[in-house]
Amino acid sequence: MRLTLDQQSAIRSAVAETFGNAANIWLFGSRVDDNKRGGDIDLLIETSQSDVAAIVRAELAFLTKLKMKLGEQKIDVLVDYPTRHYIPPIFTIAKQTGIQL
Amino acid sequence: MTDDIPTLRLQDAWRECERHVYHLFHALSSIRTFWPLTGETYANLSDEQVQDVDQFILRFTKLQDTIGGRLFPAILHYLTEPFEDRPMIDKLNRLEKLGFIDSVERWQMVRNIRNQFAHDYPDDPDKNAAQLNLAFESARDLYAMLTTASTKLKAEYPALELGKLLSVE
Repeated sequence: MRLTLDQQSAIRSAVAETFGNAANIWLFGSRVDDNKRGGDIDLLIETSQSDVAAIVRAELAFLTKLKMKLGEQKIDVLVDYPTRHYIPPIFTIAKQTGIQL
Repeated sequence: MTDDIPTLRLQDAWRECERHVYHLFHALSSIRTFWPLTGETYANLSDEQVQDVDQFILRFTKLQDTIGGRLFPAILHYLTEPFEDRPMIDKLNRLEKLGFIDSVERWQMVRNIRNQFAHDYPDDPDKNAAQLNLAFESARDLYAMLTTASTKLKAEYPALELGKLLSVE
């Protein structure tokens, strides 16, 4: 995985502050591969919240906090929540191939 | 009429902001008839309503870009603060310290709302709707940021002529 320990803990604490302690986080995509360089930080966050308005606010607050900690970075976030009507395949793949933080 | 370049730059950036504010709130006045959106209403918007939403997104984006990319740098230049080649975050922190921005975090939040427009979730209309609702609310924050900057400018530089910002209820 190509994230420093500081970056990992920044992600974990920003998720905890915005989605709560129970949320699960996976890093997936190119940052999982030690042989690549640079690239977006792709994250999947799994929450038990089901109010979409609250989820959108949490996602925004999360991105804002994380960017203030890590500086301007390309961070892509997927959020899995129980009331989603449709789960695109990328969610399953992210969990299968990703690393849980 | 002044020939002072920093003043002209600032006035020019301000005028551009005014133009975007006008069109942003014009779009919002149409949108008021059908918001807050739900996943269902979002999926069933009329062509006219989609145009209103698109206009809103365009002006929100432009206003955000103009404030961050032109107005804020122009204010620092006007104040003769040597921040031209510094990263954006340094400029923002400086402006917050000087009282031209209330909260850098709030600014970054609105910035991220603007960036989220790039994402469309075709599989998740509920989320699209929630994101737009949040953006509609945030138009007021963007407007408040302009008010903060202009109030401060007028207080410190009474001779500076800035256009009058459209008032919104």
